[in-house]
Amino acid sequence: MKTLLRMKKLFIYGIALAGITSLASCEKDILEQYPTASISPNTFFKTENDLIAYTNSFYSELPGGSDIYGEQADNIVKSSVPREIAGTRLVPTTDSKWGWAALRNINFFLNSENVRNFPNTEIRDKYIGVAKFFRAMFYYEKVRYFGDVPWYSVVIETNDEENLYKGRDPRTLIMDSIMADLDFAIAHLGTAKDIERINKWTALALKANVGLYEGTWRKYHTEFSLPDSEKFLRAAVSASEEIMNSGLFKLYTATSGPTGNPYQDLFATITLDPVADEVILGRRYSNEYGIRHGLQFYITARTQGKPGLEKKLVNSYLMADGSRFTDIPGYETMQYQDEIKNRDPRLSQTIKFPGYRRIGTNALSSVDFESTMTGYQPIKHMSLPEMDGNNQSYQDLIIFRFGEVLLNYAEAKAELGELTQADLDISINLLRARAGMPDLNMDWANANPDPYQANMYRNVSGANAGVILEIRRERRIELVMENNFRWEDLMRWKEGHLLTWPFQGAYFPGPGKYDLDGNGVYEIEIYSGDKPPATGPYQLPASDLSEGLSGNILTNRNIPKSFDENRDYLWPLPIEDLTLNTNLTQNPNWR
Amino acid sequence: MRIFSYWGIVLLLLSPLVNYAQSGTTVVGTVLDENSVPLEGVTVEVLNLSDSALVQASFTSREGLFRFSNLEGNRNYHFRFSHIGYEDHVLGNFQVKAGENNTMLVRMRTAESSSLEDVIVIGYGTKQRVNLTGAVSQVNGDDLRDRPVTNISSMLQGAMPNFNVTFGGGTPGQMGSLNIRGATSISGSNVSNGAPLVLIDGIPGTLDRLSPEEVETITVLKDASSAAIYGARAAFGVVLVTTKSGRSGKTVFRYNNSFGWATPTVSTDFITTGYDWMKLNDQALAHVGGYSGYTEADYAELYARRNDKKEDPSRPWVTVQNRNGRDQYVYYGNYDWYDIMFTKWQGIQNHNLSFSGGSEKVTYMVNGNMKRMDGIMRIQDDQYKSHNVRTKISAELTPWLRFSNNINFYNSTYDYFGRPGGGNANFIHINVHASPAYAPFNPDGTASYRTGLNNYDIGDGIFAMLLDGKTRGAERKYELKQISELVFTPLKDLRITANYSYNMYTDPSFYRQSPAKFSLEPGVVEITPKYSIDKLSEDQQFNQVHVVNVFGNYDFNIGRAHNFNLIAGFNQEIHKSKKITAERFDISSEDLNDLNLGTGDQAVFGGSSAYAVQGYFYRLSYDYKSKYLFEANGRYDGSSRFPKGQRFGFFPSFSAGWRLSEEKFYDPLKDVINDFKIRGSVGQLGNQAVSSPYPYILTMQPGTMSYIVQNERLKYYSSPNPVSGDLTWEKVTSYNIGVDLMLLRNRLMISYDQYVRTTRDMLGAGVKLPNVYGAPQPLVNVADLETKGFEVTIQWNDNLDVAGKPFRYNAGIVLSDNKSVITKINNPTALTHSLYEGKDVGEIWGYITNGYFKTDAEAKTYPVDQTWLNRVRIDNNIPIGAGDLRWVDLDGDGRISAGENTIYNPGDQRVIGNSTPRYRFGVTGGFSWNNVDMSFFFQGIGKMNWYPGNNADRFWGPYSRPYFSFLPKDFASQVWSPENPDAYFPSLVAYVALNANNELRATNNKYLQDLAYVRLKNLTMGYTLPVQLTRRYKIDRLRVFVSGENVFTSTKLKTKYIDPEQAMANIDGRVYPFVKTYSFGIDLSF
Repeated sequence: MKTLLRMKKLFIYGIALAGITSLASCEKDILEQYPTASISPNTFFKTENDLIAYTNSFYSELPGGSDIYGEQADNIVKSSVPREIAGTRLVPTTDSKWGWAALRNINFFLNSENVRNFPNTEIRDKYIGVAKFFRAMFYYEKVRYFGDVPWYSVVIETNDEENLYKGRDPRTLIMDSIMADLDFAIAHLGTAKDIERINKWTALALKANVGLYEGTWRKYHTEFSLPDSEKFLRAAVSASEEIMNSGLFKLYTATSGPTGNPYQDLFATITLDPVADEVILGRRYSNEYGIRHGLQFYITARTQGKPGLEKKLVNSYLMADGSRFTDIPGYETMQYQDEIKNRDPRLSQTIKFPGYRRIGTNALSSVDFESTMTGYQPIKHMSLPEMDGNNQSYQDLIIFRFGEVLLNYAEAKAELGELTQADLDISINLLRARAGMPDLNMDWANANPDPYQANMYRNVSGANAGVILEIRRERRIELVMENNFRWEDLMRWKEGHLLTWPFQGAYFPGPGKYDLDGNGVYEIEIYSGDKPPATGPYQLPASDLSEGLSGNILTNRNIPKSFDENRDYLWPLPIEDLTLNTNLTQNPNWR
Repeated sequence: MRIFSYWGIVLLLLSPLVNYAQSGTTVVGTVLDENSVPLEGVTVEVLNLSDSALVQASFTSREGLFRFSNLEGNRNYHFRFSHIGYEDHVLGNFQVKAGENNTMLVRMRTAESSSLEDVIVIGYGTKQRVNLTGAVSQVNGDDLRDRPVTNISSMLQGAMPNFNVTFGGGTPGQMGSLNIRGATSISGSNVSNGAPLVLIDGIPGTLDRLSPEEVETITVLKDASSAAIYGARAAFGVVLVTTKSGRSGKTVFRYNNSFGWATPTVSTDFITTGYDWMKLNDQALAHVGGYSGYTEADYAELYARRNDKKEDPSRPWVTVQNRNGRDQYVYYGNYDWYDIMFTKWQGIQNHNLSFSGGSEKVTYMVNGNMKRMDGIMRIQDDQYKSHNVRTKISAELTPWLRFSNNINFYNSTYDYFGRPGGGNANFIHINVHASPAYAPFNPDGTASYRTGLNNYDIGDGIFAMLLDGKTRGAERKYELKQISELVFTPLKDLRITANYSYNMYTDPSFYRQSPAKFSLEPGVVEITPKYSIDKLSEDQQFNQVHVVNVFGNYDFNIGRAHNFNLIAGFNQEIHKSKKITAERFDISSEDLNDLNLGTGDQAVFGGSSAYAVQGYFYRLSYDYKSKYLFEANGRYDGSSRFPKGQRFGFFPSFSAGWRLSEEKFYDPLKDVINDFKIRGSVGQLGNQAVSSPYPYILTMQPGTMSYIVQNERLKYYSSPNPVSGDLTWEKVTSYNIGVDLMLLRNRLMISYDQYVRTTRDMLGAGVKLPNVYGAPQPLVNVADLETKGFEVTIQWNDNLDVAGKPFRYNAGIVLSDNKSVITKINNPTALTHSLYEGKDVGEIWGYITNGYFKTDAEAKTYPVDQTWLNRVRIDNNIPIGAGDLRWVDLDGDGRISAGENTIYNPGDQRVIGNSTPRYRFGVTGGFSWNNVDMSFFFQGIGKMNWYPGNNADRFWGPYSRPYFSFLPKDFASQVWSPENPDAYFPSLVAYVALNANNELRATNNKYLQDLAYVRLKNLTMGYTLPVQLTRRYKIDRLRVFVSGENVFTSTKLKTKYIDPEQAMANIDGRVYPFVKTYSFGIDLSF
């Protein structure tokens, strides 16, 4: 009885408990929680600001820092040699080069309903143009690495087996798509000059670069039997011409910069504003925001590979009067202090020379063999000494410049066989004039092809061979330490064998101490036999010279190098992706 | 048992009892402790003989007296005496004689911790230990008092088996990471050791924001059956903290303090001679011409000063010389940079004051705590402080309704100088380029920063940054939590509890960077390029938690044999967090720090999120005469982290116990094994703590890029990471069996548990997609993990008579172990370092070396191509020779390689160790006699492998970076040379421990370490002044003590410069040092 009563009471309290419980929970379903600090794609892309904010994300794909200045190939020698240069690349398990995140980000934008239905079509197409520019850039890089790659214009879903597991599309399809994307961008992007933003001129500059690359690749890589080489060269020409004719760009020739030498100042300037005439697209850095790069640390520190210019590049600089250094008898055994005299002024604006004073100091600064392998210590891009620390450089860097457009124009014309002296005068000779060099004469060049250059560039032939060699010389000199151009040039010209040549430095006639800049202080001591007591200068064993007791500094002489003509122009695809997608095929001869 | 009771005369009095309207009889008595000192505040309850129902209750006075004045005469009662810290004492069947003066004298015994009658806190209730069926451990807050430590979690390390506490470093106030029973789940490519749910007075909280003085008990619920009532967040156990409450009676004040000095557990005896330091580093980097830029002449100068402990005026340590065309400082010192930067001893203080008491209807407890610990910085002091106040009040509003309120305020502050984060960041950054040769100061008092002979920033420029004390910051934390609770007691055995808690947490912090100055050329002061910015940043998080609990608890029995307990309830929580970060450049004042003073650019960032959980739970427990025990728990739980259809889950558990010792047939054994229980449990729980608060919703995240347009950092949105629409709970199933034994007259307690815990449907990537997919794969419920382990507790408690005084002593061991295997995952590629099916969690793959080449010739003719592991040597044309490691070609292909780096083709790698800590143990012991007490506590782990990371500076020295500041004193003797062929390290080349594909960077058997250690975690000695003495000053109790923490450590780790816990915290062992501390203090009640 008592228990029964208790049960009844219990029941009543149970009801009350349930009541309180539902009171706490019924106001609203508290388990419905939605993000408060991010946006649903459905509600985005409604205003131009949304389009700007989204397309801003693409800018992170642009090269920066060491992508721009960290060139190697056979231009800059370091204490170690990357595998692709030594010819010892392995087929990797995974590889960031085979990364596709950037493309997904672009295609998400291009496929968004809200973007497609954006009411103002002019504004919409402008930002679609930005996206297509970046898609072109993305695929251009993929093609340079891998040749044929799968083309995607959609955002791939996890169950989209057709796209996930498809094979590679032919290079021709990819390249045509790149050009179509670029043409769209050129047609719809803004036309005002803006060195910080993607616009019509950036797209044209990229198109010229792509056209020249693909045109020459198809021309020289006959093993792939690709058509339409001329179509791409023509595209390069027309894109370059449009920039050249726009009147918006000219070479920077002012002498008001920190050194008064326009070529040197173009790269040493801290902000791009004074040199904006020549810049098509630049990348800004900021000391205040702590957005910096490592250029000066790379050049001055002892532990960053000790970069130095390679001897054959140094040999390629003409004499100040336009004659060839390599035509001078005995040039091979000429010592630093002699060879450096009376050369194309760009040489002394690219490497340390006797009497060099750093920007921001009055002190003379000698070659520091602690920091350079070859003795030809680069100074391109070098600015204030305070930027020497690890990741402490903040000078702006250039991604596209008018000078490159001129080189692309001349080379494309020459490869098409349509080059004239007038073309040279509005391109190469402008660059030469800025440097203070005499003009290149087309007829003379074709009549007197440089045997030194011809020995390097074995595949150049035809009536324009002489001038093509000179254009290549000009390109190598003008664009050294910029955007890894040299590697790409060797690939498209099919001159990979140049990487296997020994990389050398300055010439020394024998053991002894050398004062390279005549300031009374020795920079280097060559010794044979046992290492003598150190007295100050950097000590190098004579066995590191090419002839044993004399000769050029031999760098990396124990690193065996090779280049497989049938394999090494393309990169291997990573094993993981070949395993996951059996429709993908490996590039030729990679195992 | 020494209990003395007397009874005599019974007095008649008038006060009527509710049911007995007649005048009653008086009973008076005195309660004493073992030392015959009157005990105050003892609860005395008078119980009915028939059903043990409470008739009356009272408390003893300051003199230990109690009095009942209206009991029915000539009737028998039970008298129950209870007091915290003492064993309950029952005077059964006491006859109250009518008309007589009934008196009694009772002595209470100090409680033994392993008693079967211990009350164990469990989810939404308590239970006697004897009736437990799950895996539960508990410690008393009083056992943690008086230890010189700033956080409770550190005191709990090793205190309970399989309650695992690890630390990210020794920073003062550093909170411990808690884990119960090992690996719990996976996140990305890592296995996670998930944290248990921590509930403080039933509400989620942070263990380390408590002070031990306010803690009554800390209980760890380990298996599913114990934790199931908490459902979704309790998948990996629960820690229940109960704070002390007031008791009716006189107000008791208690104050205790301690003052201590801490010092690193590791050696700080580094190379402090410029000559030796430079020699080693230049030797390591000889192949590129050395590091220092010092000439032979410079070396001669260094050598001349090599034995100068102090600067000799005739041989200055800082000189001015013309180098590279300018006059500059050239340094030839023997500076002890560690000593310049850091203090050897750091002070630590603790003060705690509490008072509690109450009337019969209202009780209260107030506890206030203050801690202070100095950081290690010497050049600019850093300091950690915390304050904590708890106020509890409880009032009986009506006989059936009790209200209580519990408010806690916590605040901690860390003030520092230097890098953001202070001590730890400075400690890490000073680790490069601070050569003993380089002076911190120039003679004119300016800081050094660079030498001009090479380009490196001395000590990363930290010293220059610290010197003027303008670059600094503070981290502050404030938490205010309040719990309001109503308890209805509508029926005698039915209790309905409803509580609401609000918790507010904020952590306003600031950091000011002021340009740091240095001098390289005498008289020229420059701004350091690295620290050139003038900037103030402030950030603040604001978190709120609302919790509602409503539950009913009903006890009943049938015929006093079948005992039931029923609990049903509801729980709901909402967590909201918001963050604001602001920064401003170019502040107008060096000393003031406010955003308003900024004249330069500014930037502001935000962020917010919220999530909620809701659950309905029940427990049914039943026992038959405490012999057969059954329990069923369950919870129906919902989480906002999952899409609507998958939001709720039901998580049941069952457990049972059998006390064999209560069976008739057991009787013959009863004298040896006094109590014998076996238990088992099985249950399933859900884990909702997966990735973001909105793992199933597509969102576009805003961001700011390191890319400048129009002089501003670009702001952007990018594409949403794909999500899976059908996410749901990870399901955790746990099986537990256990045995509890009491032996040798209940003096020896043994408790053993063995368990298997499987985590199913863990969130991982599904079928691996080709990279063209272009995004992190959406997580789906795909992977399974299994963790197995055991834990054992052995405790001995006894007391003897020594010289006529009680001598009580105890000793105990806890030991636990666990290991985990990935039982299911989608990873057909099975790279060695990835999570693959069948992987033992923590396994370490590596290469095998069988020692050094004895001669150059042997190296030259060794038939195996080992270029794969000699990258630096190959690249720098350093031939392999005597003193270089010889690798074993396990797969016999003539060359060392990683193969495909998969488990099917691992090349020459194999599993060489495991990084899971195994065999964690704690050993305790102590005694008390004649007012003297002593206790010790050892803690450690039995086995754990560690391969030092590539920046483990104190381990690798110049083999990693040829410019680490702090090289062990004897490092040179460990470097191989023809004269030292058995050295620990091979011939010296820089970077081989830093970069991939090099001999020391490649994980291998020779340098694999075992972190097994044992440490004397605490040693305390105390003396309680005789009561007769203290009484004169109205002091109830006064104890003075000395205590040592981490007093001594023994380890298998092959360096004395890294603490095993540093290595566990960080792969490089490069974190703020752990400390050993010596302290003294008093503990006083009045």
